[in-house]
Amino acid sequence: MVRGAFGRATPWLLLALPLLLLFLFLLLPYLLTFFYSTTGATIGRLFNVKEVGLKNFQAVFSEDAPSFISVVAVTAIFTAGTLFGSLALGTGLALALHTVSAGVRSALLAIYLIPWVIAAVIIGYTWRLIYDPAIGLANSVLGMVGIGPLDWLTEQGIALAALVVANVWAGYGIVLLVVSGALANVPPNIILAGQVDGASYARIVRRVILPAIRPTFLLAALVALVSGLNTFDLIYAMTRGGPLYHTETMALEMYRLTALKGNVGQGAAVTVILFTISLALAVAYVIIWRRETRKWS
Amino acid sequence: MNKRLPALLSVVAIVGSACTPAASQAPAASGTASQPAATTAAAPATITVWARNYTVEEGRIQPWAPGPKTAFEAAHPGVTVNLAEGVGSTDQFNRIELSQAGAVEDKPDIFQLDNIWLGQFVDEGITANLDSYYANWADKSDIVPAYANSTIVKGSQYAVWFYSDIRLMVWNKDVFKKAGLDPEKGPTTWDELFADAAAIKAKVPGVSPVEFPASSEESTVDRFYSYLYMTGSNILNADNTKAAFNDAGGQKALQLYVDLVKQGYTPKAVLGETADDNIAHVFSGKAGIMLATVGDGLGSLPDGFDVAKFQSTIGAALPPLCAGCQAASTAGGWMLAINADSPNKDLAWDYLTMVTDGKNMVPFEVDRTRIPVRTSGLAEADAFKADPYFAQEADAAKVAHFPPFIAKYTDMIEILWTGMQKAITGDLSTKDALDQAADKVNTLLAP
Repeated sequence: MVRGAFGRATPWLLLALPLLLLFLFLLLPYLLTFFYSTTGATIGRLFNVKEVGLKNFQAVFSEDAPSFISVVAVTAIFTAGTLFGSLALGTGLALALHTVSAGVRSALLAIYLIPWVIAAVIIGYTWRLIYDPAIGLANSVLGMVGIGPLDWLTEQGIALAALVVANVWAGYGIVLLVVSGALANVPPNIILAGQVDGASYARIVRRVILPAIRPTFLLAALVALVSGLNTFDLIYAMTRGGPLYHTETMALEMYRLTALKGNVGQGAAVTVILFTISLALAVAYVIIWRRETRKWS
Repeated sequence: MNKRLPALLSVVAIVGSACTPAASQAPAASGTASQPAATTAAAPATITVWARNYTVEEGRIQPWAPGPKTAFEAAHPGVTVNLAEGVGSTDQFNRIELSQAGAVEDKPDIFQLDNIWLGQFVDEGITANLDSYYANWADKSDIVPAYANSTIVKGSQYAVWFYSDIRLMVWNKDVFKKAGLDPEKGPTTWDELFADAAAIKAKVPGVSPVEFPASSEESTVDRFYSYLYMTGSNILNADNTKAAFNDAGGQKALQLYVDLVKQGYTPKAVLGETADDNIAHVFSGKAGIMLATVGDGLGSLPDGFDVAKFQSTIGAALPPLCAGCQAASTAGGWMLAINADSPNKDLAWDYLTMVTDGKNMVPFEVDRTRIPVRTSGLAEADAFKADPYFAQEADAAKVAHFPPFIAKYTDMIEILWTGMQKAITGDLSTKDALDQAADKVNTLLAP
């Protein structure tokens, strides 16, 4: 009887510490953030703060330098660019590696994962050098094909695209890793069957491999999506949200309002909005994931 | 157990990491807000000092120690001075504010503050009123009157000047030589500035002829002020209630920046650069001229430079003048204040006055190309001979202006640099950009 009770409690006992840590370091800060978003808290006044209702949200929505719509748009473009870029590059490389022998694959995989293990700040400064208008590699390459130099990070039209490229380079590794793992589990006989039927490799990928790894692909997509929404350090190192807030994402807006302007209430309001968007995406993911797993079970 | 729970928690954790909020980190890092009990005069005490990083740098001259620290501790047995780790400007501001909020456990007795923060800190009750100390302080007459008056807020003294700095234009002599220009003579007028920039652009490829900071941070406005002042314009009106920078003079000053970019003498990359980036470019020969820097740049010496190499590589002079303008520079600098919550204010004052003593400060000021704020410090002319351009700094000090020490200064300058950027990028004309910024500043400053 005792053993039975203990057995039933075991999962909860094992989960107790992680749950406590999750509460202390994730849920509690979020609860505090929700609280602060309705107060006039500043960096110099975090206790005994005045309740202001939804005024912080009004202030955030009505700000015009930068406008909140532009911050959301920049975040959406940056996140979508990161998502599709990382998925395309990571999956493409994983499929390419899938065609070589296991030994070569392991060696190449280790090399391709290098950007993923480098700190984002270092990647940011490295890409800043690459984009340097005077000495950067990017303009040297353009020069070779007869195109004049560009101000990659200070020209409003291209700064965001330049950041997306850098972030894809920084983040494709996780997609590569996840998709490579999934590819290893694709039954070789169904690929062989496709080959016997005379299908091209591209057709096998489209009709056989990608459907087979679809649930894993969804996970990779979620991670890439989060990577796009989450990115702060790389953007800060490269543009700090400039020129003129044209690369200011919600993550940078939170930092600007909270740490630079000291307006904790408004910074918390942006956090709450970002959290709501992220939660909606997470719920959508869970629904799709359950539908997919049901299909395969 | 519901099998969905771990999966759901995992998803929440992943998604949660997407929203790591600066705002939520502050309370998570909070400690207790309790203040140590007041120390009696006879009990052992610690005077904690929060200073800027470069004033407590190992291996360089420090104003705090060893002299003043040793003398102070000898004069007050049982009392020790704790020089806490020095930090950069933004971190210094934030840790003082967080300390006031009770969000970090420790509190300083003495802290170093940028002159532009004084109004805000007084408003927030962070700085102790020093009137009673000033009233009995023999050395107060040693402070240059313009500086002594600038620490008065709402009729009371709240800080003691530590050291000052002055803006000068600097140029790279090697770049000038390659451009066929006289390396010992920088441009003295805007016309000469454009002529020199044209020569550099034509003869020294790969080098930015002229640079100034234009990114979203304080040095963008700080390095611009000298050009604003020389036109007769000002940042705010006389009683600091309305913007004045959008008058004809302000537009003329900003148009200089716009024209330098439009004519290709300044790269648009400056929109992402700080003053530290610019001065590094001048030292490395990547840029020819920097319109304004702190002092003559001696305090920013990179590795491999000594004073002799500095003098042979870098030139410094007052910012060049527009036609009909008057010589102008900008004064900034750092002050020391006593925490309003310090239980050891008398001890803190004793140490603070030992540190800021005119003669004690001179070696540090020479080493870091700072300007003395004491008459006794300025009298040490021989010591400053080590700074090759001290004469130019002294000249600039005579025509230097302070930015306004108002409570909303940090909010105001964000509006101003955004306006400047709109003009530099060509989004708006200089007039429209400055008018728009002025409207916002007027709203900000409205009672």
